[in-house]
Amino acid sequence: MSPPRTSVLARVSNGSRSWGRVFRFMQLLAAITMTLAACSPGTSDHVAARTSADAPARPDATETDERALRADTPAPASRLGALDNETLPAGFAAATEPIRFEFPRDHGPHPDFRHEWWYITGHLDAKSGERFGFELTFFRFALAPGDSTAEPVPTGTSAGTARSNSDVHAGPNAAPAPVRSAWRTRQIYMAHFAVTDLDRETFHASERFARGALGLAGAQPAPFRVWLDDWSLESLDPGATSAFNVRLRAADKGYVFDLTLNAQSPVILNGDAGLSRKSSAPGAASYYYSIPRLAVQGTVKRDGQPLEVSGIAWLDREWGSGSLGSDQQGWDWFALQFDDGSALMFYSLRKRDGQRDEHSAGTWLAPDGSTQALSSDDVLIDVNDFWNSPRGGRYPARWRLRAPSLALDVDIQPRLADQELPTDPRYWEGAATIRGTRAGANVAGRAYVELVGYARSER
Amino acid sequence: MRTLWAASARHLLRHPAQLALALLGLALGVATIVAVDIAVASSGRAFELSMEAVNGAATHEISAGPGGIDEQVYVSLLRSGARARLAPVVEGYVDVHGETLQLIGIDPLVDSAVRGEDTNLDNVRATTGGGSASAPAGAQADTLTTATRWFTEPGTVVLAASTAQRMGITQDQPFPLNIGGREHQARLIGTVPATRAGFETLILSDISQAQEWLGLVGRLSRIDVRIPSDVPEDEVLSQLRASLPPRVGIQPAQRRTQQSLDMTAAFTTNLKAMSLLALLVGIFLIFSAISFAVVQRRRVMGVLRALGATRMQVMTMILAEATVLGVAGAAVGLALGMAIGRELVSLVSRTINDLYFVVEVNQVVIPAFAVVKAVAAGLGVSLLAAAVPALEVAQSAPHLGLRRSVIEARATHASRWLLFSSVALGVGAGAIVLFSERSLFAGFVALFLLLLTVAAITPAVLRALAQVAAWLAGRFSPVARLALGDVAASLSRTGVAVAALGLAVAAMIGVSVMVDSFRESLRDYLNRTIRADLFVTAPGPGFGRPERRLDPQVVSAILAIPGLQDHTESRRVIVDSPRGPVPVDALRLSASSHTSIPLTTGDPSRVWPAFERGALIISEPLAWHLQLGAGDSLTLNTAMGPRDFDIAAVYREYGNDRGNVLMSRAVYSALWRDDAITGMGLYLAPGTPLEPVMEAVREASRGRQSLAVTSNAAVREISMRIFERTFVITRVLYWLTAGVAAIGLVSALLAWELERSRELAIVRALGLTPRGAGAVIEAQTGFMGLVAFLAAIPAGLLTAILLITVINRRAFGWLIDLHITPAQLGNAFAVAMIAALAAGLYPAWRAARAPLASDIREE
Repeated sequence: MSPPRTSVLARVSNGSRSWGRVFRFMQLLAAITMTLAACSPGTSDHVAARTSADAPARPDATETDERALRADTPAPASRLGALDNETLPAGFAAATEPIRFEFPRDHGPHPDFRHEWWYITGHLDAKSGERFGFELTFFRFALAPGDSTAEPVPTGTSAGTARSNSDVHAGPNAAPAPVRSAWRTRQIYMAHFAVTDLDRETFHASERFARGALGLAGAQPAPFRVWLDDWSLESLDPGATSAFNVRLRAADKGYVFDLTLNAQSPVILNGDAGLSRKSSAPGAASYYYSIPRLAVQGTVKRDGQPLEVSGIAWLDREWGSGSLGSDQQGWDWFALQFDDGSALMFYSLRKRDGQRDEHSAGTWLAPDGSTQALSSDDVLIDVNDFWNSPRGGRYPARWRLRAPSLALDVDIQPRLADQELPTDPRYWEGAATIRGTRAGANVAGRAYVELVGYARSER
Repeated sequence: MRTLWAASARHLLRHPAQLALALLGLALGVATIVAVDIAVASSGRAFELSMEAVNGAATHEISAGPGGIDEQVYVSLLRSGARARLAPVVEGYVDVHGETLQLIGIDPLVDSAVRGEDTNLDNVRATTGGGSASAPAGAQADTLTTATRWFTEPGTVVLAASTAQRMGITQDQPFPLNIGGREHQARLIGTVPATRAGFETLILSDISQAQEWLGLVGRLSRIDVRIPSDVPEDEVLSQLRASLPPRVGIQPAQRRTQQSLDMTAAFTTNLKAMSLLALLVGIFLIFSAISFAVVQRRRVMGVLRALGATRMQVMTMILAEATVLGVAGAAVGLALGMAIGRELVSLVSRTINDLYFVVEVNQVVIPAFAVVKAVAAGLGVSLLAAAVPALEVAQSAPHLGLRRSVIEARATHASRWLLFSSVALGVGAGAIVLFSERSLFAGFVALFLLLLTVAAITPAVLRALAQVAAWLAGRFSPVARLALGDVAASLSRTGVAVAALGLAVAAMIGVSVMVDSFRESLRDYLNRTIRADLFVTAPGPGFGRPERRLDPQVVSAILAIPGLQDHTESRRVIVDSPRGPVPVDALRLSASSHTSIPLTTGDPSRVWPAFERGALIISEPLAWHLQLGAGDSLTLNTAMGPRDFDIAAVYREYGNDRGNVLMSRAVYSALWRDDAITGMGLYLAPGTPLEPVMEAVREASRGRQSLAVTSNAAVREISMRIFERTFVITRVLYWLTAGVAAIGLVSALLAWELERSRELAIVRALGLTPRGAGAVIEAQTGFMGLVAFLAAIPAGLLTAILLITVINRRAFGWLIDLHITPAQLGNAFAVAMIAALAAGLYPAWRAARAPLASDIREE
């Protein structure tokens, strides 16, 4: 990755794992749109044209604010600064205080918030001995606030519609309001599907995009369903109860997954009763819950050959609208599932100077189902090995994680070195094994680790 | 040997006019060949680039008829599990500031998976990808804003940077966009960098916006498909086919590009024929220029041989000289050709835009084969032209080389031999026409044989006519006898020059008779078919674009206008068939308008009832291309799947060289589920004035749609104007050819005059005034122009007949009535005489001014 881009990523992805993911998503979207249309909007004329005085009054407060800010600060660096400071875009709902979570409602989408995701990671063992790690993630992103489907058709000419632009003068032959296209939407979905094939020691990843329209992609609470093309998570519970009992389907690169996932643990609310603060700035927070243990059954078709599999998976759910803090490089996220039924989630935010940010946090799920919030000080992590990506960048590749308050001391080792998703930007998300002790007794288990902000372009 | 080179160089330098003419002749010949190839290749390449920009790395496309595909087909394909990437496209034509652009509505979220990533477009991707990677950090945020605006703001579009600049469209400034007479507001949010070719005629928007603007909500124009290279293609294709509704097909992506390029095949073949003609005349010119340059030094060579230079040495000298001249001439010709080519490009692309599709040529392509061909022609012909006389001189005994009489005797002999060849060529041309049946290429071969016939016969005709004229003129004036006799006696000079002129004039007669015949046939056709008093159409570029439709409310308002007696309705679309896309004109005709369809076969009393029941009437070009006639049947893909239609009749049609199908509108709208109307023809009650009705029509559509309301006179005029524009390029080329021939004549006359300066000086010493000497030369050239013209008349008429009945028929499929006027011959006569007399001016001026003594003195 080129230096300017790195700094963008670094600066913007500083808030937390969630903000980084959001930005990653935004960047992906931008990159795609840019490549497609090969847009080159950024010229000095362009900036000049966007002074507050010249800027046409548009109903979209977010964009107007953003334009004004950017026009006042033409230098690229300070423009980003402006973006950074825009902690809470107007028009979106904000995660400011704890809410009462309700299911299945909150398994469904929260379109008033800017971004949201459904994250499944897991480990599978086939009866015939094959072993897999997998990741299936759905991201939702609102490009602008407001429910676009409820709007009248914006023709730019028909008088009286809410979005008709005042500075657009209707010609003498203005068209009558046409029928609205079903493709019009502000909700965009992205999905990542990655398979770690441990026998073959290969890793396959793919990503897809679709708009939340026309049934191409979307999410709904009851019966719960989130999908993009033919990748989906779908409730197996016709009664639409709160139990998380879903069917997972995804296929790409010769792997066809058809699995059922049953919650074996309660919903864990991370942070302050589900409100996960990412920095000291108000609104820089999200709603964040997990289901750390899901029993998995089903089939994996590999190159047309069906394998019966079972295993364990993890669900992460988060939504919010906030934006960015200022000085972080990336993060390391750990989701540990111990054989005794306990689990631990911890995210460590890295500052640019390599230090851990104090807003790093986690949650401990005891075997009895009780939970305990973990602060940054509660968890110590040492890196014991590194892996150099052939695509550029040096990742940590083995950790010693200690939680003195839990008397926990474990070694976490990736099951395969190269589990880097070649998305843009790249990140590492992979299956790992755990070995160590808790309260003096041996513990073992499986984990998923996510490493963001390490990729560097080779020059 | 050094002496030889010195002799060679000194000769060329001492005769700069000769040298310049030889070079100019060579250069013009080469230039014409290059120019036409450049024009054709540039237009083709521009089109391919824009298709590439639209298609990207797509390997296949899914498409259906004119109404497009239901967007749900796309949704269900996505769920079919086929291992292909799909990208929906909605497209149409829009008018921005009077220019036509192709609106492409895409979904950028899936589009890059189909259009991106492929190595074929790596350069395109790299340009933009590299741009983003190295751009200032702020560009990222800008890009994000662009993406957000793309999806959420109404009317946002992206244009090529060059297009935006040319049209004066700036970032964020709203501009009007006219689609089928309806105005919409668009706003530019980004541009495609100029480094990406093919985007100049495109306007990109979100698929939702394109659907709404084009009135295609719920429909897709096509679905682009990319099947990854590591996946078995057949398997994926059959998987996709299984999920497609019956009438929706999947075909390789290149096929559409090919189909569009095929449409222009007849047109580009004609252009290439013109360039071949130029090549032919150019070859004559080069030949005469170089061979004169050589022949003129016959004496020097004779002296050199007498002094002991070997044949080999003399040959080497001449050929080396010809090579230098050939290379220099070809180089100048290439430069000139590129300059002319640039001008021709705009003519060619305008014709293509008028008749076929939207193309914007920004990049002049210089095809390697054109350069090679032109240089080979220039150099090869120079060498040949030098070798023939050089060989002749070199092989002669040295003293014979000094004699002109030997050469002239040989030339006279050659002219007889050429006369027989000419007969053989003529017979060959006739045989080819008779036996080649449908081949356009064979038609052109016959055409060139015919023209060569003229060239071959001209020297003999010239000699015979000159002798007769000299005998006749000798009764009145000895000087006239001398002048004309000289033309006959100097056949080696005059023959080739007159042949070249005759060739050019014959081609000119042929082309102008063809164009005039075509024009008259078209006029008759328009008078017969354009019968309604007023035509109302949804305006917009692109034949058969489904978005061109009349607002139903506008239609009923128009029909309520008082004074209307009758009306016709027409829906023009392009329909898929197993034999390729077919333009369909679905008509609701009134009984009185039946006569406006000029049937060439079929009994009207049976044809029209059959037509109303669903039979087709097809145009001559379609009948020719598909080899169909009344009584056959044609399969068309309807909304209900493929269906066979009876063909009731064939009708004459010049509007569309791809061919056209007429169908009852009632039948069409039932089978294609399309109620829209593209245009209407209005018949006024007798005595109703036109203007108030036109105003009423405009009033009826005001605020809803801006319509093209045209009177029948205007429609005819517009049709004729497009016709004239189409033939502009033909005219340009034949003027170029005439120019080439005139230059050939000048260079031939100059050489001749220089050689005869002694004879003329003697005559002048005997009492001929300077003015008289000039008159002699002018009389000679005038006579040669006349002969060229006379020889060209029969050949020109034959050429016209060949162009009309063979070339046009085979290229376009239509029949044209032959139409010959004295004016056409008059023009050709004028051109021949002006070219000949103009060519004689300088030699005449020289002859009048030349000092007598030095010219008479010999040795």
